[in-house]
Amino acid sequence: MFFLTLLYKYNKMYIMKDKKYIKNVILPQVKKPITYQGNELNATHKNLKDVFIRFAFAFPDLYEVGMSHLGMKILYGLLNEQPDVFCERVFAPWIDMEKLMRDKEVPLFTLETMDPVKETDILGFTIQYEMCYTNILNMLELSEIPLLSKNRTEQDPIVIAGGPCVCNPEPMANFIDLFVIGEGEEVVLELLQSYRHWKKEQRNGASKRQWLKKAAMIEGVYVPSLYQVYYHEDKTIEKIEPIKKGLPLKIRKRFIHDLEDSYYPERLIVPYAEIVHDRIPFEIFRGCGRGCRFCQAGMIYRPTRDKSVACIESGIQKLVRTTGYDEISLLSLSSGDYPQIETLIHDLVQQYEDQRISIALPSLRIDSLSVTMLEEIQKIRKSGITLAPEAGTQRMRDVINKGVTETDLIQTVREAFEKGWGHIKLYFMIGLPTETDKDIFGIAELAEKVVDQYYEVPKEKRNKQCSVVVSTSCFVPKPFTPFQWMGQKTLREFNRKQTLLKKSIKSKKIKYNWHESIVSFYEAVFARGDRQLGEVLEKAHELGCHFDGWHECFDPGKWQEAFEKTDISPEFYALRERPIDEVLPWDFIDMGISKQFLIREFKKASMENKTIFCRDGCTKCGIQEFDQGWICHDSHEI
Amino acid sequence: MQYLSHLDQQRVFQRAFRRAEIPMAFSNGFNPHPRISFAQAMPVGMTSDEEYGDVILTDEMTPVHFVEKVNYVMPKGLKIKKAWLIQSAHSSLSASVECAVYKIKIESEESFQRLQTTLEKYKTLNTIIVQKRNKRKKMVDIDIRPFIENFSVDSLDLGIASFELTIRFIHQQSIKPILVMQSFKKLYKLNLNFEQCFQVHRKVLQMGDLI
Repeated sequence: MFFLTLLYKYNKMYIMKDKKYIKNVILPQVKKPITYQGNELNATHKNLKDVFIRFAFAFPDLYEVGMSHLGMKILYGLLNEQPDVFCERVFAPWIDMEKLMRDKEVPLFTLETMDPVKETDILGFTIQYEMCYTNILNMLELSEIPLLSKNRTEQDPIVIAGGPCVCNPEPMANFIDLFVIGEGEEVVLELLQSYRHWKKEQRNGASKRQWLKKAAMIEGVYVPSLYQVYYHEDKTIEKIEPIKKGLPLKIRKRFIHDLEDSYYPERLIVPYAEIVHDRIPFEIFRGCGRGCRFCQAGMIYRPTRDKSVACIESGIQKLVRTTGYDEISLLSLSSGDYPQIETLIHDLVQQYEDQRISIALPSLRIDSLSVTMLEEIQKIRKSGITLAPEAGTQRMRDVINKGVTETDLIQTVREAFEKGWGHIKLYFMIGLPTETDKDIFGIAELAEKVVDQYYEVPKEKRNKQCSVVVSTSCFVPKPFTPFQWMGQKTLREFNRKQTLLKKSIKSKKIKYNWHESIVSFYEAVFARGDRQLGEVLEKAHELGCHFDGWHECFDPGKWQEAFEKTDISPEFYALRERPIDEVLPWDFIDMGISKQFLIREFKKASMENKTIFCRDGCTKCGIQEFDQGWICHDSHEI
Repeated sequence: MQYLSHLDQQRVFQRAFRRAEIPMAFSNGFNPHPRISFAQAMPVGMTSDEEYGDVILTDEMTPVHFVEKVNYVMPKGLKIKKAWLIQSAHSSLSASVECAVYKIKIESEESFQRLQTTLEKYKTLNTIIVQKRNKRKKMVDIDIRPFIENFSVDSLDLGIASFELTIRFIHQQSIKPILVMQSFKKLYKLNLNFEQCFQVHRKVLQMGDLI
């Protein structure tokens, strides 16, 4: 007994020494050491003696990016509200830090305790972007956890994942023990309850595999090792089936029915380092009923659910007091669509103007908010205006069901120039289905028309400077959208379109920025990939791919090599147009919207027919049938 | 707090003042900022026992009340020791700094004796010319000797040497402690290891007529 105590103490001392080593020797040598240290205001610390389940919440990108993510803030708060659960944060270390950690054999550690990630019970990744897949593999390796789920032992943490990308979990199926499909607030607690039971039984020999089988019965949970994929000879999928009877044939996504009463943090961690979105995020509604046909979020987060003005205002008040932030951002997929947006903005500006706390509306549609309203929110801090027409011609905008018209845009910019704005950013996509060169010229023409509006405003009224920034991204077809069957345009085609656009922009007031098409190509591969891509990811990781979403790290040569060495064609996934009746890798997942709806929308797109905003009338997307008894737009009296 | 940059530090105070509901005055313009300033910037990696800062308020409040309110919401590791109410405009804080006392810890393979004797020699020098990058990023020669008011070695413990260095401010100019340490190492070819362990701690910031 005495001996055991001694050993325990020794072990503790060893760890302490390690932490000091990280702090005093490792951190002074890296960029932004403060992002590895934790201890920020409102971070949670718990006495480990009172903790039964340790949960490492991992964001597979830099601290500055991950700390800006709302989902993490919600789940971190929610999990730490459970008395016997301790949720800690983990981020991907930047390349300088990673190199040092590998050289000095320092395993990946959590910010809260600086304990190795491997010592936690559950390691949960949130997956926001396909190009972070290699970061997940890298983080597993840095944690000394086997990459492949099947190679993990009873001692390794259970590795779970959620977030928008996992609506097609298959490319990551080999590496993740369990996926959570849909919104996490409720299902994560059910999962922990089940885990709690199992951990108590574990002493009697209950295995991890046994728990996974139990967890697979929870709605919204997908355990890939319990499902088998059968392929046709041409590598398309024949079927995906559970390996045993009794397991769900379809995995149904989860969504929060009552957003108003759902958990929302009253304190937020306030980082010392400047992060990407350094402000209070407040979610005003979830889901979007606009039905833009390229937009995955607009499809998978249905139905739309609003919070009341009172709930939003009291929530914000608490956060202002506990954080000291000077900006509040009203979050949703399209904030101008909030039914009482004018009242809300008016109230907030009135309440916080004196304290110089500004209001931001990051996702605004051209047609949903007046410039007068913008003027009101920018009373405190003035910035530029960003608008997203998405496409250059009306025909193209009708195909993608982006309701806005040229008149909307011209009117908005005219007003903005009249009110003294001079800097306008315009976002477009290129390579959309049915796009012709006419649509590309349309982008240039639209931008020129915007500049013309500036000159039509009298000199004494307008801003001294005018700049219009046109940005294009390359269209990536995503699962659960009406374009999920479409082939992506080739790199050559994207590059041609970019050059064409560049040449057709004449005005010196217009600046053109474009996203690199090669990144979008791999994004398209993984967005609609299947389980066979696991091998490629492993190879890419082995070759040193990481931070692929970062321009300075993305290495197309290594990716090409990874595909060649595994003899898998990326074009098969990115460029191929799928027949409507092909079994898609994500078909066994039910995101609430019906396949019939997607097919209908796909056909309407090719006929250039629009679909109405669902707040104006039901478009029969299937969500009401998905959840018997659910009625849209009636959950709260507003 | 060791790895806070100067900008990080400014944000920490702004946010703490907001949480404490201190009536801060703001600058005008498109992007109003609270009117807070610090006597000296804190470089990343340095720790300190005392720093001085100014905040302009729109309503009067007693220093005791101010300190109490702010310290209540300050993150761990930072604390306001004392506040003074200055009614009228005074000369800028940074102009009032007279000298700074630093504690410097560095890994050393030299004996305490050697460090002590070389340090005595170092202090007898009349000029110490080092290269320094100027504001236009050009390397220029400067004499750092006038800035060194005092320099001593206090201890050598487990291979870590501990120095105390007092830097004088001349016409609001001063030098970084690392410049002194590097020139000391270079002149006498000392085995001081900056990479493994090098910590700078500001012990005292001596202010002139202000307080």
